[in-house]
Amino acid sequence: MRKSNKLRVVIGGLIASLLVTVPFLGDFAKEATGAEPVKIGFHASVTRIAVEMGQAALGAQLATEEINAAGGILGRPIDLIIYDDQCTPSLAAAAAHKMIEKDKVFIATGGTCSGCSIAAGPIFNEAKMPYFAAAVLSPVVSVPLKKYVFQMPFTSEAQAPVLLDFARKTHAPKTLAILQRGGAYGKSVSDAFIKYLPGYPEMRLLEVLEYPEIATDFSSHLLKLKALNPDVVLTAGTMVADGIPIFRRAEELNYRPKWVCDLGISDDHVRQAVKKSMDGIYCAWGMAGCNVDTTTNKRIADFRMKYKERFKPKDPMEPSQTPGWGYNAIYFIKFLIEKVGKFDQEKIVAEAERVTDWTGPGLMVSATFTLEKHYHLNLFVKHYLPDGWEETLERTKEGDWKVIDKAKRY
Amino acid sequence: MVEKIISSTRLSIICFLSDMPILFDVIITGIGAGVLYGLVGLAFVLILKATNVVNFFQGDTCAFGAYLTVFFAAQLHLNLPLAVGLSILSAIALTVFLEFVGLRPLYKVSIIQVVIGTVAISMIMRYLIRLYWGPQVVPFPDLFKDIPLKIPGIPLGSATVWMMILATLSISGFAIFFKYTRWGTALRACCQDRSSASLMGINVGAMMSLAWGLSGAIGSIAGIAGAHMISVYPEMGIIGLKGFVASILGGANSIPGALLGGVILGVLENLSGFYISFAFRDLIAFIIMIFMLIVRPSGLLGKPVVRKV
Repeated sequence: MRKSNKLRVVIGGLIASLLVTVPFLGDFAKEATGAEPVKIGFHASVTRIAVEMGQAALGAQLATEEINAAGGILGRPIDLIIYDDQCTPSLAAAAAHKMIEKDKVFIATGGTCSGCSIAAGPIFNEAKMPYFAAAVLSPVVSVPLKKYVFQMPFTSEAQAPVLLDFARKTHAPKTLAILQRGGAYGKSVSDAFIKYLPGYPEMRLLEVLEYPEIATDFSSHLLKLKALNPDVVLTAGTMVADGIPIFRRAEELNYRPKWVCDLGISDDHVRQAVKKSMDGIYCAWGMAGCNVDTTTNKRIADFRMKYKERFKPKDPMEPSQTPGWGYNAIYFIKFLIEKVGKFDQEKIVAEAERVTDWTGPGLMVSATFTLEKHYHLNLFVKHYLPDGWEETLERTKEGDWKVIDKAKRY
Repeated sequence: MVEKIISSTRLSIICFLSDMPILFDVIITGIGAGVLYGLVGLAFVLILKATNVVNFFQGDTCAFGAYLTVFFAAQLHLNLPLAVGLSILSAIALTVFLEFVGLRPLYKVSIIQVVIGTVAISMIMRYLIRLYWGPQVVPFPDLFKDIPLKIPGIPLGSATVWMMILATLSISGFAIFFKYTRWGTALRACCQDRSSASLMGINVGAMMSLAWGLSGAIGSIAGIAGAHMISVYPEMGIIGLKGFVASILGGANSIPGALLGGVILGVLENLSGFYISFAFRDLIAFIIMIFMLIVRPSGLLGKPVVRKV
């Protein structure tokens, strides 16, 4: 071959190599700057059971869009992958496997039914995948301790002493009864009440009455309560779908005990449906005035406005408190990654262990993880007053309860 | 678990002996719930009598009746009587349409295929409810706030009392319809032998549509009344299961049997829940169903079907 032809071949080969490799150089550059999306898996009860809790997925979506619009996490946009677990542990476990094996997510969060997070948590832990259970309250989710599993909201354990203390200060009851919904969450609240009750020797537990997760009639339970005649009735695990018929039926049976309820009753749909049947009822509440249009809390008012603009819910009562939990979970993950400065799962887990006081743009007040990895924050109590008024009470450091918010809901 | 049942039973015996008014309340509220089951059971019996088909989307028809009332009253802001009337008419139209399009072609294959078809329609209806109204509980208007009807000393709400009146009127009306009217006779003929009925000049297709339409009407009435007792959410069709058990208990081919079966089921549920255990309350429906199928398959008031070879 002549020298000039050889040169042409060499130059041509170099050009061809460049044409082939330059596009890939561009990809390396993308990776170096971190523009590849970071996958976050989110499982929630979007359909079937406990769907009011599944709205946490919408809060997570809103947070994702805000963060991506502001440039993502360390320059990388979030790719939020949502699975509907239908509040069914086997589906949650299947979702966990898919997130790990098929989607290869970087961090997992979500969980709106305790049973689902109890099923999914060990799977994520075994895969060394950080998992932040966003909206589940059963302490069984994170105890026994699992290195990679964290629990974001307050647990049933946190509700029990607060509500017992509240009941004692407000009603001074001598006898109590518990109306417990079937399922992991209801059991965890009920067990927590029983666990902390010895600390209140002046109060005696008469009976725990359990009903199934999907029930059609509550007459026998309410008549049993009427026969027992406790000073206070505590609810454990009651949700919207059972809360409405319970209070309606209680009204028909002319049974008006002193109710002190756990978080599930606090959904606004219950109040709107039964109205004055809930007058005088107290219930645990996670977000101060979250679903009240007339709230004086600016952060909550801003969140409500953003949520309504984004999702245009048909139901004027939305958002309830649950989207706030999903919203917080995503912002907390962002906080952790930015604190660590890189996408390193082990370092993120270590950083989460060190969180003592996080107050992000979400709705939660300042909070911390404890050794048991329960995210402790202030627990409020909502008091339903006549004529559509509601007040929110907060426990002071001295142990008293003071009103921090009052609004008219209907 | 056993200790729980024993302590609960002991407590219950004390209650039983010491508080007869409570026993009265337990029975009366059981009757109230039972009437709702009986109304749903009546819809099952109608279809069974006319077509020999167990309609597994009956419960979802009840749910649709409730949701349509919400749509007409709360979203279109129609007055309540008009909203209820339109809901019932819409449920009739929907049921007739579903039967005509989804099930009629399957009769030629086998009855089993038709029953499977009803299961499929049940899934579709539930999905459609979720798609339009969402998965959460929907507030239901109080239909009886302007016409309260309470009986002093009886622990039943206005909705339940009105439902009992409606149920009694419906049962009586249908019993008369089947026994004394031409269309009722024609329906019974279709049930016994469709081919022969057709040869006698009966429009079998029209009779089938009539039967399904009537079950749609009853289902929607049951759903609207039941929405005052249970919440309106996509899974409220579970009431269909109780109605099915009521129809088995009372007699799958007996109209008054459906109501009797429902009332007995409601009372037994309440009594067992109150005096034995709440876990037992949920089992009782299925225990009754199995028991009746073994001991008396035709039900309490049903007539045994004799097929001559």
